[in-house]
Amino acid sequence: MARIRLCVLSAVLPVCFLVVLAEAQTDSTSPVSSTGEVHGSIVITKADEMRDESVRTGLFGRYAAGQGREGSLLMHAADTLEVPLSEKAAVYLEGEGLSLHQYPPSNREPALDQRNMQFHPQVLPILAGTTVRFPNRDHLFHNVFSYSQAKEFDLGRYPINDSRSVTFDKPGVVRVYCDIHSNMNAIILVLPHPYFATPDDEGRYQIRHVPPGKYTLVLWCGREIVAQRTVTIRPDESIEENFTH
Amino acid sequence: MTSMRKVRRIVSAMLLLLPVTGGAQVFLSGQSAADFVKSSPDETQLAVNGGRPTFGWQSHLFVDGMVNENVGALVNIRVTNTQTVIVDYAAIKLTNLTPLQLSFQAGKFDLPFGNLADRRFPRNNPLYGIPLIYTYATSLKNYVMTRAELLSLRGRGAGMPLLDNGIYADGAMVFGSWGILDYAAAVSAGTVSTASYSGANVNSDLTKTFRVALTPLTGLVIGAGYSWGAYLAESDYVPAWLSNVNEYQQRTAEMDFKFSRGHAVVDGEGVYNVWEAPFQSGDQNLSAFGYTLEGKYTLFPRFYAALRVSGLRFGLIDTGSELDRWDYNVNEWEGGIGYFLYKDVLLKFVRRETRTYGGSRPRDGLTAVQLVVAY
Repeated sequence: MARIRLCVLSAVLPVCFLVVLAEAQTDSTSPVSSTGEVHGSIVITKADEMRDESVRTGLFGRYAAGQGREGSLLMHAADTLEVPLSEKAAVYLEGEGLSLHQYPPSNREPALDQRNMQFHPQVLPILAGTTVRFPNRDHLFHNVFSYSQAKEFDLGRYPINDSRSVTFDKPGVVRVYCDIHSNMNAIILVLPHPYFATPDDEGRYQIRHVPPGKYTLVLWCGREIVAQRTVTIRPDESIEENFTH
Repeated sequence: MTSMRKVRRIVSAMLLLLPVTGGAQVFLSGQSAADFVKSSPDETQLAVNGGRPTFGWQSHLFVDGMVNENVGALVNIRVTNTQTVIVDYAAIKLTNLTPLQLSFQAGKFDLPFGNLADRRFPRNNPLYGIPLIYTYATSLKNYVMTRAELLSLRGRGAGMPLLDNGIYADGAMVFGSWGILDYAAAVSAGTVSTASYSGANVNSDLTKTFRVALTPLTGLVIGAGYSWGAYLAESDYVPAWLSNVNEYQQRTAEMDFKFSRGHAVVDGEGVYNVWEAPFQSGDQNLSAFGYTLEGKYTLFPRFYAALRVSGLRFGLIDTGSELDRWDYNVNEWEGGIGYFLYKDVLLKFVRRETRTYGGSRPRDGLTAVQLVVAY
């Protein structure tokens, strides 16, 4: 009898475990069992919004001669970079219902690289609670900092291939700068839910496993929100929303 | 011409001139500072407004006219509460000229000497003043003086500093990089001590300045410079017994370093200077040594503390009866804290103490509160 009980238990327990695990995974992205999605494409025709700060060169390149590596860089070099859409745009949903649930952050730690005197990407959407790495890929120092209400930090100076990490607990917009190179700036969008996406280089995006409901779909490009529209997500439906800005 | 009209004309000229080149762009930025200062009551160069509590302000406007990535015209305009408009910097700059990747600038620019760099501006200066070697006026002027006159002016701040404020001079310069080495060579009117008031050359000599800087590892820059040129002005005051003012040279050597890591930044600089001074009884070398060491540490986001120690040491001169220093030695420390109200808005509290080894006023103090905005 005891043997049979043991066999039944050994068969049932893994099944229960798998069910609980599956539910937990579903919960992390979808509070309800039946979800929908929104997808579409983004076309940006206006001037790069990141440039308004990039051109604030001021002293950059002025006191360069013979001052060592930090000063011997080209004037306005950063301003000439073409920033791909995947690095400067993000799409996310806004809606009261989305903030009612607790979403455990992913174990993956996204990176905000400092490379060629620029941050990559320049817009990084993350779920609150996520830890972001800030690796330095340049042969010179950067000093990453932010005084934003959502997160204040100052990482100091560290050499190439070294990195520092910051955990962003509070939802909000975190504006990130370099204290040494005033042309460098990036934005971390700390969102209270995981319903966001970064477009690919062609501008295609997709937000999956969205609970049914009425939301505002927001397009953030460069330094600000450039478009938003109301969308209704229905179970097992995929709606298309395209942006041209 | 009023100050504002001058500024308007300069900016208008930049705006009108550059667009004709095609893809030109003009960028404006700047820094402004408003400060409240209370110094020891005195009329020395270390006192501000006789020691009366004083409000002051300064604005620096940076105009970058960029023809393309490598060609630009840069102008710095400084306006202060004395309503003075000064064009500190007005140079055409060409970078990465092929095939040697050399860069070139001509016009009025900062000589490649020392490592003051952008710390001369209030947003980048962690404290209120800038180091003694750039500001403290010695008793030596750039015309022929008698020994008695030189000695009588000790501590009075009537003459030249070791390095003239930002060392902006009219001239031409080539510079570039080779591996971990940065180098620059310039020819200019005026020496490192007389640059700002020798725009139109005051003698027939030109000052030659060289600088090299090594970056052996990220965050450490070690630099050295040498500059020489005639410093005396050809004028009606040149006595008949003096054949040629150009023979009297100012020779200046300096070494500096900048080290930064984590939340700490340290800058240091040492300058040794010799003025060949003509006296009727015989020429004499007037030597001076100056140093400065400055550290800044970011304690937590927005908030930093900074400290600078500086000193000047003057050589001996034969006064006729004894050997004495031709100017009084000076030591100074300046400490302060800074808090960023916003990214580009900085509030500083600074205290400075200066000790002069001679004269009637051995100790001077200054307290300053400064609010800086960069835009």
